[in-house]
Amino acid sequence: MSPGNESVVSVKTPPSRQIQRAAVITTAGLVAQLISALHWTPATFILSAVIGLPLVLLGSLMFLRVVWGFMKETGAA
Amino acid sequence: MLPTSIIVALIAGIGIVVLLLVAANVLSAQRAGRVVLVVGVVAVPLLLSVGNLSYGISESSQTHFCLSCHEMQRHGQSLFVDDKHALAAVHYQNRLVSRDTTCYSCHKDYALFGDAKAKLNGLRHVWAHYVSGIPEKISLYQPYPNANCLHCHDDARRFRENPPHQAVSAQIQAGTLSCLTCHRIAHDMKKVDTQTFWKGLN
Repeated sequence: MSPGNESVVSVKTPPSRQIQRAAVITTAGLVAQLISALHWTPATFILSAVIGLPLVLLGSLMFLRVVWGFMKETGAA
Repeated sequence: MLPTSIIVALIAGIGIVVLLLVAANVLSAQRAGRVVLVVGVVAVPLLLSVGNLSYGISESSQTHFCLSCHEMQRHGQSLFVDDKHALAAVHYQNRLVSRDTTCYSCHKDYALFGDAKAKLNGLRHVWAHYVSGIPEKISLYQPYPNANCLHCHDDARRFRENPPHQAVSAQIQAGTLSCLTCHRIAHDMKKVDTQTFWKGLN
């Protein structure tokens, strides 16, 4: 194939770096919940509820925002 | 420690999210991969968190949870005192309330937001434990409401047919006369101090 004849197909993909960031935050939330589950006291229960759960929610929202942005960009939304 | 099943589920959830974290580049390039990401990064962690939280909330109603703070241990001992007039001991020893949720059965309001209010009060307890300090005399945030007693006793034959109750029934119902006016001892701390316990319960 001579140079210049390659067919370039551009496939749009969601920004994986942002997805990874969301997954890291979600993991941190689950780890916080795991730590409190392993050492179950009133204080760790509250830590699980006020740190673990919000981190998971934040990670999920960040991920969904990336997906929504990608869908809008590609015209799927 | 929470039950093993919850811990295993949380570890599995963390494993799934970490795997997807590593494979995010590959998965995000395909439609099916993106569905896997939504399930693994959003649905699974949310389900686990909601399950964990709801289990935690139900666990926080358990007697052993309340008594896990040392400030409450004397109150816990008062369940075992040998006193037929001490309300906590009578209810616990005669199984008038579930032994697993003894504190919660009497100290939560049975109104619409009774559970939420009890949990918020629990947060205040933890705040006092770690930050503001425990008051010298532990007392209720508000006068004990008759409605909590009447929730169980209101239609009980022993309550209704008791002449002293019949005489003041309207006042009890209206809340103008507290049940604790006559039933004065809720937790018999004097007998806790003298270690006078009912020996029938091992």
